[in-house]
Amino acid sequence: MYIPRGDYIRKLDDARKLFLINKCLREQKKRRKYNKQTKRRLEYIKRKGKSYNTQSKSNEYVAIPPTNFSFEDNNEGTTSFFNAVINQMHKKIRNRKFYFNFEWVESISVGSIMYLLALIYNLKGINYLNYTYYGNRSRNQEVNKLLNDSGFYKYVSIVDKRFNPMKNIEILNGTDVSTQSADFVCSFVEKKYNDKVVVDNLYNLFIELMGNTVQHAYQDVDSIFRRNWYIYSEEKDDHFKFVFLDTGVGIPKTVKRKNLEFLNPLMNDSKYIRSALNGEGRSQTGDPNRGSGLPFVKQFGELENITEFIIMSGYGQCRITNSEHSDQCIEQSNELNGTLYTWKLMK
Amino acid sequence: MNIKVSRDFTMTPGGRFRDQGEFSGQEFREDLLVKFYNESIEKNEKLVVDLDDCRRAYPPSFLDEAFGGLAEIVGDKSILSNLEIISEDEPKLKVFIFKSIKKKLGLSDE
Repeated sequence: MYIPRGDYIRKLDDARKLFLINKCLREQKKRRKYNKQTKRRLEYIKRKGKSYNTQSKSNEYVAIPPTNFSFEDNNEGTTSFFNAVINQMHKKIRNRKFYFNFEWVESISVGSIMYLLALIYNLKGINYLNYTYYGNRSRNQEVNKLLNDSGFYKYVSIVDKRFNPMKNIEILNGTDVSTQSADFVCSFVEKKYNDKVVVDNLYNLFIELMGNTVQHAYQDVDSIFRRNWYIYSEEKDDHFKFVFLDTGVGIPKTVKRKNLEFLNPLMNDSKYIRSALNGEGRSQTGDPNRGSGLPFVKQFGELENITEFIIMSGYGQCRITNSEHSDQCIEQSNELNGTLYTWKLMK
Repeated sequence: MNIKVSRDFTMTPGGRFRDQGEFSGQEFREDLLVKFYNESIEKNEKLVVDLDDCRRAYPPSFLDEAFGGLAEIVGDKSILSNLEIISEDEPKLKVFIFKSIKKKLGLSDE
């Protein structure tokens, strides 16, 4: 707080002195109030797992992920966070700086990291916007390790020399149906997993998912995002973890509507996804011989060695298991822009 | 007449359409299958397609576009007697292919 002193203040008349002192006191009060509000908001984030985004400087956007930064465990908070970031990206403000504050993140899932990577990488091709991305690390070392090991820091050009990059993780992306990429991931799995039937199915699954992305996902020609798909594969002690995602329009917006379904208030995104998984004639092409891609995905999810197979798209989330009720679909409160598949292959 | 996919086309079959990526079902059908099928008909022979020895599996969309598409072009059930599939690595592929052909021709599955 600056209070003028010395000769300067002696020369001022009393009214002027009083004005300056009151001004300083008002600024001090404002700062105290801001700090109290910030403290209350941060406590709210920790409690509720939601996030909020603040704009500190004129062209900087500060994004604070929720403490539980996971689609599977905190879908509402995570999708809400991403939707706010996407809205800011769509504003197309040139030279925008995106600051990701991971300080309060206590747990994080691979799906969230991949989705964030996808958003950042997809926009890298839009040169005229000149977006830049930076951020800080979490207080939680496990979160930092996963961010580093997954390649996130490498993508945003932060190198943490305390952790060695893991060789049991592969991240791939592309814009076409790449047999080379699918072959590469299968070779990665085959080093430690000998079941040819499952690996064959895995290969077919990747080809089908890439085909769906290329043909259906990016229908919005005005989208500022690259038309990429992303694959994450990681080997752990007793299983392989996979994520496949795109940032397109989502399955519910691409499946064919029947009769006057759009007037039916009971139909929602999760029901459309379930119907497409069950092969109920939902091909966007209208060809009755098509629409076998998602049923194949469901068959894959029902294989014995496949666990925790989850599809998230739009407002819908479906879990596929190999039990009697093999698909459990629920409607979420926030919309995911795009489609995310995640599953484990047990060794 | 004989086509061996792993020798004449690719070890890693791809997706459905040519504009989606390499080694697609459409590419296989247009560049190989149709040409060889027509030649085999002229010579009064069967076309034998050998699916074995590929490094990777055959995605359903690849097979459907290749063989289902061929059935659409041929247009009648003569294709069922003029086409032979060898698939000892994965016998289910043979069943899938003929099912796809029958579906395209509007025939029952029996």
